Order: sequence, then structure tokens, then C-alpha cells
Amino acid sequence: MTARVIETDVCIVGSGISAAMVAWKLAETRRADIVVLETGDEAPPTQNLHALRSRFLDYGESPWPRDHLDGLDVEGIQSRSMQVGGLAMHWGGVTPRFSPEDFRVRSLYGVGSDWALTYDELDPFYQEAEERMGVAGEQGPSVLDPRSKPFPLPALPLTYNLTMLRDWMTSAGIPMWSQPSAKLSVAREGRGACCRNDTCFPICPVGAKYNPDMTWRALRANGRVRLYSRTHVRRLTAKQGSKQIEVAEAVSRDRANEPLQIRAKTFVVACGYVWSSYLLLTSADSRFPDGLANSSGLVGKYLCGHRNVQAFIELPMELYPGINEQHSLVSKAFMRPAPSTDRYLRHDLRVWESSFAREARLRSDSGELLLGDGILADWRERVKKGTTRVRSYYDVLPARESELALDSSRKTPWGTPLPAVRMRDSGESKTLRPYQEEEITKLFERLARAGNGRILRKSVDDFQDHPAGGCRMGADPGQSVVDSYGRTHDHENLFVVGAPTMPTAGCANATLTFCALSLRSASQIGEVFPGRASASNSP
Amino acid sequence: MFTRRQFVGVLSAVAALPGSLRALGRRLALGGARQRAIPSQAAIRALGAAILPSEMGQARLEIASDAFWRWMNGYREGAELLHPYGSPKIGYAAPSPVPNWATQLNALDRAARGKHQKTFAALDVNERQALVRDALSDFKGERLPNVVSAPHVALGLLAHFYDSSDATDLCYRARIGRNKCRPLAHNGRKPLPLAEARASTGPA
Repeated sequence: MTARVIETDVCIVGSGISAAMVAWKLAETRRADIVVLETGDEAPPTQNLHALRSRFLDYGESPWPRDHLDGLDVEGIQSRSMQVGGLAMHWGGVTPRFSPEDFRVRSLYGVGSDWALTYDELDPFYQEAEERMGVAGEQGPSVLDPRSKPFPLPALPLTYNLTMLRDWMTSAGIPMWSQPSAKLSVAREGRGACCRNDTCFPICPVGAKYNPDMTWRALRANGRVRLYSRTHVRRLTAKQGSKQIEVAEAVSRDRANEPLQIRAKTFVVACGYVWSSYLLLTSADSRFPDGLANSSGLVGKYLCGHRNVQAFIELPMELYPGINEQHSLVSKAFMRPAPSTDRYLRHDLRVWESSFAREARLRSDSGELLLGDGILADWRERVKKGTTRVRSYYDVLPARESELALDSSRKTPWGTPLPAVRMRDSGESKTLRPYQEEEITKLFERLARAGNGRILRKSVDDFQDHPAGGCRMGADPGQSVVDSYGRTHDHENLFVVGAPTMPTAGCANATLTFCALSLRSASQIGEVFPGRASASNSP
Repeated sequence: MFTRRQFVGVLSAVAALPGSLRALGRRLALGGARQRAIPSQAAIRALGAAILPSEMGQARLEIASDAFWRWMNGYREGAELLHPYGSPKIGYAAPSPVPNWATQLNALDRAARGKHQKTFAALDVNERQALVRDALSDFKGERLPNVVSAPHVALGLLAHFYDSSDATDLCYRARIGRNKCRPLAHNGRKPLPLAEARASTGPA
């Protein structure tokens, strides 16, 4: 059957937050035709957000229904979201920057891998991402929280609870400040200011939290991109006699018998940490039997993340859970240890109000069934002391074998093997793990003592959070898949952007870093296209 | 309308289907049963007055009971649930608990007639509460269940109320307004006492 052919300058595969950043910047600064391909459905219309939120609150229903495809359940960690806007339709909007040390852990501490760029090189793109999304933030102590320009928006003010908790942390000698977030503290550009609906994850009903669908709606409305949803890219193919990528071969989920070819000058793979490596691997052919961009053999390797250690601490403090539960304090005091540190440990620290162990219950301490006034009286007695949640991410240094593999025993709806995600700590990380978790626990115990409180529960997640990697960046083509701009070493016109390019996942929420890297990639991708006269950061 | 045999047959058949089709099947199979089984608003109010805190007063007791009644009416079997974080599993809303709850309300009414020769709603609050205690005698849990998995209608109502913003405010005697749209500028202030907040025209 003859394929329908679409010609364009830039073909972006995927429509998540990294894709949105690339498209936004290119559309604004370059005269280039842009086609975006997304396997999933359209995001719900914005006028539905309040109703979707109500169903979530009342019944636990997904506010993003049909954002996944049956038959794509991957073995291993994978948050399902295949929809215009990607997984960031679900994100909490938390936007810390990494610290300068994240980019130089090998040089400074002798562990893991250095990145192929420095914090200073990424700083302007962090700023650009913050401005585009509308990040509200408080400048922390400059020695802990370096940045070259102020936050674009005033910080989200601390709640009464967080003010009390900050006093407690100050008494423990730890500086904390308002968590930077991509949530508007001031209304702008048709988006409402945060009004503490407190369902940032999974849905903000007023548009205060940035979501990638905002960018897509604006870019499509002004004709700057053509976005094809429900269109699955099955493989990328290189030109005969060349390593240049020539075509994305796709299929519409609505017209399975009508193949689609997208021919472009530049291809951008922006499918997150699972499907980016997957697309490169499943594009293998006789010329590239190990997949595209894979001369190093590292596509799908070095998947990375950070591990979560958290505790709930009871404090003799009058707190009111519910003022703004998703907002938090943050500190980078433990992200910047001196290079002379004997054993490697870096972690962030966040503090939230919590209602843990302060919920209404059905039985008294003596086991009596409580009804009527009894439940309320018991509940009031138990909330006289407050609780807080403290959490640290420490970075897990990935093994080469921390990988995405193709599982030929399980197939996608298109008949290709499903991916299997197997995260593995490196040997040095395995050795360090008990020490690192013990040290963080000691910190939590110290905090509890400083507040005359006690730890109610401590836990460590089994999985690694904010997963990334699989197409790690580096200067050496033998040890990496892409350069610091995300350009693959093997194919000049093929880029991978965002999460997959990260060699390590740092020790803080990583989405802002995905965005900054993507904007830096866009600056490079755009160089071959003529510039536009005017530019605006408005989505 | 489905007979019970047809209903079970449909459920068995849809179990073999992909998730979204399975969800649709559940809705088709269970929708009719659910429509028939919704208890009356008055019956829920009678229950609420017996097991919710008396200090709420009649008007607020009715508001809380009516909210639960609306919850029952709005429940959608098979609806896609929020995805678990970091997991590929997709969950769908369980079969409605409402038919069982309706049966349990009828049982409370039968017990009232048997013991007091009155309807459940005609009993005083203490008598109603005693019957609820009897009905819950086999329930050993300490925690309030999720509403949808509540094994008894009384537990469903309690779980629904105590998960609400109003219940939190009542507990803390403060206008916290959890999950409600509130001005960001008021973030830093201690929530107003409940009585004062109710008298105030300003937002929390």
C-alpha cells in the first residue's frame, strides 16, 4: 500500500514536556515547519478540568481518562501516560534545579559520571524554562542555591504550617525555603494564579500549574505546529548510503491500513526514558542491526533515578493539615558536600504538612467501636500534636546493565516486542546504599529530637524516582549516545531530548532539568533554520 | 434489565476482554442494577443523624448525608482510576457497593420493626445507633475504609463524611477549607476559628 507522505523541516516524535519545550522554542525563534507525532489521544479540553477534578476527588477517577494504550504495560517502573502532553499532564509542578555538583560527581567525588556540560552552561536554559513555564520561587542562600537571575515570579508564600515547620528546621540548624514550582503566584497569559486547590498532582483546575497541553494548544492555534495525535511512529529509517535519518514510518490508530511517512530534515526523539530508547532499538535494520544511534551499544543502558527515603515525624505543634498540602519547604544543604567527603552522599530535603496518623478512626485505644460524637472526640484528642513528612532523594549511580531491554515474549499491539525496564544500582552505589540510608535516617532522628518529637514511620521506596537515561550524553562516542545537545553521535540530523540524555538523575525532582536540556537542544536544532524576527515566551 | 444469571454471565465474559472493554462491559452489566438499588435520601438522613456527630446540628447532618447520597448516585462502575505512580497497572472502579448498602438499610429497618415495632427512621438516635452497633458487630477494623470498599452502609457514610473538607474543619474547629479554592495571599495566616469564620464574610 502506498504511504501517505508528509514533508516537514522538523519531525518531533512525542508530545510530552520536553517535546513541548523544543517545539515552543523552535516555533518562536525559527522559520521551520514542525510536525509532532503522538501515539496517544488528545488531552481533555480545558473547560472540563473542574469536572474531571471533582470526579477525582469524589471517586478517585483518573482526571486524564484514556491517557494510555492497552497492551503497552511495560515490565518495571513506568508511569502510564500516553497522551498529548505526556506524563507531565500528571506532574506536581515541582521545579528545583540540580546543583552544580550533579554535573561533576566523577571529578569532585570520584563516583558515577560527569555530564558533558556544566551547571553554568545550563543555567540560562534553566532560567528560560522557568520563564516559559512560570516558575514561582524563593531564592535560597546563594551559597546553596546559585542562579544568575532572579526567579521569574514571586515565591508561593509559605503556609502557616510551613512557617511553623521552618522555625523547627531553623532550630535544627537547617536553612529551608519555599519550594520553587511551575505554579503561577500571579495570574498571567490566561492562566489563573494558584488558589490552593491542592490537587496539583494530578490536576490543577485553574491552569496555575504549567502543563504541556497549554503549549500545544497555543502553537496549534497560531499554526506554528502540526500535531498528529493517535499516530504511532513505528520506526525511523536512514537514507540509503548515508547515516542521515530520512523518514519516520508511522501508522494512524484510526486508519491502520494507511501507512504514513514523515520526511524531515531533522528528527527529534522526545518520548521519555522508556519509548525514546525503544524507538531507536526497534528501528534496527540490516545497516544498523543494533538499532539507530547505537554504535556504542549504550542505547537503553544506564537508566538512572534517585531513591526516596521518607519519614513521618510527630511534633508537639499545632498544625492544620489541608492549608496547602502539596506545597513544601526545600533545602539544598545536603546537595553540596565538600569534595573531601570520605563517603559519597548527596541528597535533597523537603518538608510538608501531613495528616499521617491523624485521620479519624473507628475504634478507641481500648478497642471500643466509635460512632456519633465518639469519633470526633477521639479525633480531636489525637490532633493535638501535629505531624510532618520529611523526604530526601539520594542519587543512585546507575550500572551499565540498568537497562531497557526488548522482551520478545510480549508484544505491543503493533507486534513489536514490549520493552522491559530493569533498573540496577552500580557496584559503588550498592556498596554505599546502607551508609546513605542510615545517614539520612540519622538526620531524620536528629530533626525529631530538635523538635521534641518522634518518628512515627520511616520508609524507603523500592523503585527509583524520576527515571531517566537510556541515551546518555557524553563527549566520547564510545561511551555515550548523544552529545551535550542531544545530537546523536551516529546520525547528524537525529536528536534525543530531555530525560533519556541524562547520565545520572541527581537528587532532586528532575523535570525542570529535562526542560532546560530540551531548550538547550532546541537552540542547536534550530541553527540550521532561518531565524524569526520577533520572539515571545508566551505559550 | 438483566436477570441475575445474565448479569453474572456478562461479568464472566467481560473478564476476558482488554481493560477498556472490560470497563464498558461492567458499566453495561451493572448500570441497571445500580439504578434500582439507590436507597432513599430520607433513609440516609436517618442513618446520618444516628452516626455522625450531633454537634453538627440537623441542617449540617442533612447536608453531609445528602452528599453521601449524591455520591451513591454518581458512582460509575468501571471508570478508569488514577494511575498508581510508577506502575504500569491501570485500575478501574469496582462494582458499586450501593446494592449491598440498600440491602443493609432494609435490614436495619427490619431490625427496628422487630425490636421496637417502628421504622428505623422513627427511632430515637440512641436506638438507631444501637442497631447500627449490632450490625457492625462483626466488623473488626480500626481504620475507616475507603468509601467504595465499605462493607456496611454506615461505614460508607462515616468514611465519606470523615474524608471531607467539612469534617477536617469540624475536627480542628477551624476554617481550613482543604481542597477548596482559597486566596494564595491567606496562605500564611492561621486558619480562623470555625465560628468566627462562619460569621465572617471574608474567605479563609
